[in-house]
Amino acid sequence: MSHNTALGSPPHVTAIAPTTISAAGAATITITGGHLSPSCRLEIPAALGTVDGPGVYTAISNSEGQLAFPITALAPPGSPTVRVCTLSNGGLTSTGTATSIYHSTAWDPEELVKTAADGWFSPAGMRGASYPTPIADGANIVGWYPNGSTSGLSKLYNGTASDQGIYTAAHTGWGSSTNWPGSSRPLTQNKAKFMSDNDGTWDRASGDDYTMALVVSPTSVAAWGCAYIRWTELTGGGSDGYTDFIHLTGDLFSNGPQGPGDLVSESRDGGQQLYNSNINLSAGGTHIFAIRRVGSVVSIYLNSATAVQTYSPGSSTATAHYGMICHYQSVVAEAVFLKYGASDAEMIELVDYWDEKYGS
Amino acid sequence: MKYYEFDTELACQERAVVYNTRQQAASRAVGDMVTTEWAKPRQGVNGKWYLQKPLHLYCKDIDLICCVVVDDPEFPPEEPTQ
Repeated sequence: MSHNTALGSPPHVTAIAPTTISAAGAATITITGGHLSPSCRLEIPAALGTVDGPGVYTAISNSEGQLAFPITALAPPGSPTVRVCTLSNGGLTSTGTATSIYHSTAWDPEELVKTAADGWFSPAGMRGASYPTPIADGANIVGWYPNGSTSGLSKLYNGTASDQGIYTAAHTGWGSSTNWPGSSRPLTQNKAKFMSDNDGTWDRASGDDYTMALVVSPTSVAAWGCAYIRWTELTGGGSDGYTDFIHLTGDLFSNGPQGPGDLVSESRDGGQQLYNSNINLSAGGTHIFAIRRVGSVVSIYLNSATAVQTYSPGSSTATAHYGMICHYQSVVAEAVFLKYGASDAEMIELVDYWDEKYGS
Repeated sequence: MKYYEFDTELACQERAVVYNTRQQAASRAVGDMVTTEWAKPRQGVNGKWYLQKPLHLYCKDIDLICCVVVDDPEFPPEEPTQ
């Protein structure tokens, strides 16, 4: 008999992993907490699967440990469902963190692409000279196409060789241990400028809500350039006072109040806003940033689904026609353009997805 | 990064045409119908005109085209700043 039942103390849960099961087959549910022992019993709903054996206990300290239960999971349902599990010992159910698991197919940003006016750009859409032939490592990126068939956004591209991104098949600077691919621009070259055509697919009225997000890894120690994403009326650079963008700045663009590692954003005539993020760009890693407009509130996000800054947009009546991603001395892997304001839950999904994939 | 430095925009544009032609040929050779330019001439803060020097190409007659090769000239900001 375990000490838990002798003492009449229920198991106390501080964490459960994974929080999401997205595929059928063998898996392990690991519960962390106190008052755990091999005699603890895990019950899971039949719709989630079956528990195949007792939990294997590993002590973390005198008072904390982990129980790893082998399970066989069933395929996720059509709609994401929370499966409530029960951990007990001697008939006493656990206290602490809820032992529930999200049973859902694997989420990716394509779920945010709801209409032809939205788009998710990933390295899978980067192409060299000939579409749809996959691009080779080190080749110039001639066109960057949106993922899937829902998006109607036209490609982002550049017809000037010295302004094209360079496909890097395995970037080693991400916060994660996986060397994910992306568009790279080293210290010795121009900025990479991915621009759309004015072909109607990128049109957006001044009052429309929107969401733009980018995941970036700086690559230079001495003079980090910049990375920005924008929805604009102009193809070129320059601050025209009528541009929606968010801009992570570095040494090269430290003129004005902003400094290296700061976030600059602008929403139409709302004026530029500065957020002193104090990111240590020299340290590399992964940076996720986003700008979202919902009605009269523009929110800025940095490595979190909780806004670091909010402000009111302006009242311009012109229409934006172009999408653009620009970066220098950094690797850009994925971007999202949405012609609607993502919900708070969708922002959490997006940031979690990138955070789990690229690290932080 | 090295640049060709010119006193006039015209001289810079003329050199750009040469490299753009070469770039178009290189693009067509690999089926790239999008990339039609090598680089755009830019004016520096000192008023002179600059064309990015290709890493893999070098003009042997820079004296004849009245330019010099310089490192990293200063350009006005072209990106959104405060």
